[in-house]
Amino acid sequence: MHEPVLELSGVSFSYGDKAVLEDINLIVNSGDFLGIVGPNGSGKSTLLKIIVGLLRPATGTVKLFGIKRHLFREWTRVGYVPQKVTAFNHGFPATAEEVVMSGLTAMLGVFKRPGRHERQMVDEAMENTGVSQLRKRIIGELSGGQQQRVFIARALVSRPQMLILDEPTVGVDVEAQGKFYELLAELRREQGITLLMVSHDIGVVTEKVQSVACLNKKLYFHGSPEDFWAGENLSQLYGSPVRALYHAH
Amino acid sequence: MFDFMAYAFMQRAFMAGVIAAILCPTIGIYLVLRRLSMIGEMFAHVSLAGVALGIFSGIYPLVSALGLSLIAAALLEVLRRTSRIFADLAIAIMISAGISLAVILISLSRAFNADLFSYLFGSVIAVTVSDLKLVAMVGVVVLGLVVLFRKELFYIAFDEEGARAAGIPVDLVNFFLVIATSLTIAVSMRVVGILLVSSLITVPVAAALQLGRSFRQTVFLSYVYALAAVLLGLLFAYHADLAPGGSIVMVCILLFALSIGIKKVSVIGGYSRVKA
Repeated sequence: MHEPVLELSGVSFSYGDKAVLEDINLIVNSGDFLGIVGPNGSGKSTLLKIIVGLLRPATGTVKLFGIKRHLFREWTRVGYVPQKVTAFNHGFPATAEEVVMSGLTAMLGVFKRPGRHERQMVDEAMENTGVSQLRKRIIGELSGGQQQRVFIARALVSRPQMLILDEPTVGVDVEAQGKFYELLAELRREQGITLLMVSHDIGVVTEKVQSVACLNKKLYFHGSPEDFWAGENLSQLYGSPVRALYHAH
Repeated sequence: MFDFMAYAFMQRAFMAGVIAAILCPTIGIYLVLRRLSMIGEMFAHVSLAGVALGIFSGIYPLVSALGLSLIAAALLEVLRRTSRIFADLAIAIMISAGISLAVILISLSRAFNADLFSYLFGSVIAVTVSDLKLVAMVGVVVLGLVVLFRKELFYIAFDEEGARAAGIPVDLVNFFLVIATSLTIAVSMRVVGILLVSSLITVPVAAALQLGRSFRQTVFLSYVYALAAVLLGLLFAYHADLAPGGSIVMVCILLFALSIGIKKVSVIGGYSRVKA
């Protein structure tokens, strides 16, 4: 159960001569729920892009399911939910169902077309994320929270073992955020999916996750949320003394 | 009214037109959604240079246009990869290269004649048997490839980054789309004309986008619009003795205006239903 799903060792990255990530070492085990937190510009999204293969690290190695990233081909085992809710073309003429179906593209390959089995997988993913009734609606006409669920369904449809989410609560109202965290907890409980989430919302994230990693160019802390709040991590992370404000959600 | 179909040249024009009406929106839906509509314009200008080269050197113009378009597709890819210039600037540079080469070749061959005009504005009488054979062959290849890569093209059009992260060979599919576009333009220009061929790529899709309630429906509607435009446009061109490019694209524009009108009316209707 606890074999490593993701291993980063000595990973660094820079845009031009501006260092974004320095010597990142991180292990995520199967079934874990890790929240990576850090201020804006701390390299969180860059780190996710390196993990899913959108960027190549300058140094260091990334292993997915024990296989070096450049040799890793089973991308259907990894579901990626990009920071999309605010970024995609809202005039795109696709229904929620068509968007979820596209999550099977890589699994099917070029020559296979989706059949009855694939439509069942789509139904199941949409049911699990609670968007079945939105099937025929145009994606751009849905609310931020609904769009987010559709994107999660798209990532889940190929039945991945790990789900990677980039700032999933941006553009989603508070009520939908609550439902969103319930959904993540359910996925972990019922399907044993490993979750990796990036967020700038430290207060909320540390309430929900099993372990926290703090990133600001370097990795400052990796441990349980309790240990995180016990230490001086916030001031280290933001470079000045910061007082934690607990707020109820 | 359909007596014109007795003429072999009209049958050929209609067949070439129908192939263009299927190919153009097939490619166009992906170009429009990715905001790459100008790529059509680029290949049209390159095709003009190709036709001019054909007239100048005595090569069959459709073949030289196809050849030059493929070279342009490769050049665009090289330009995009080696120099860090924006895609739209790369396209603008290729348009300039195409049109300047065309002007030089046309001037050199003193080719401002009816033959060149038929390429520029389209023609109902100029489609030869060998034209039609080449158009059909290339059409089958392009259509087959798009059907094969349909899932990948959809995913990339919707979310290129997500497609990359999902392990889809995005660069390969992108390059293939550019190639398919170059071929589509080169074989569609015979009927619609070089000046207007890229309109057949964008306008039916733009019209379909107003009313489509799913991707599948939008694609289907764009075929209906393109086919209606080509058939009505050719009919009108035949009876009024016009170059068909103008009448075909004008029908496209009217269908686009009609679609916007229907959308507005249905939105207003929707509001009044909510209020009542």
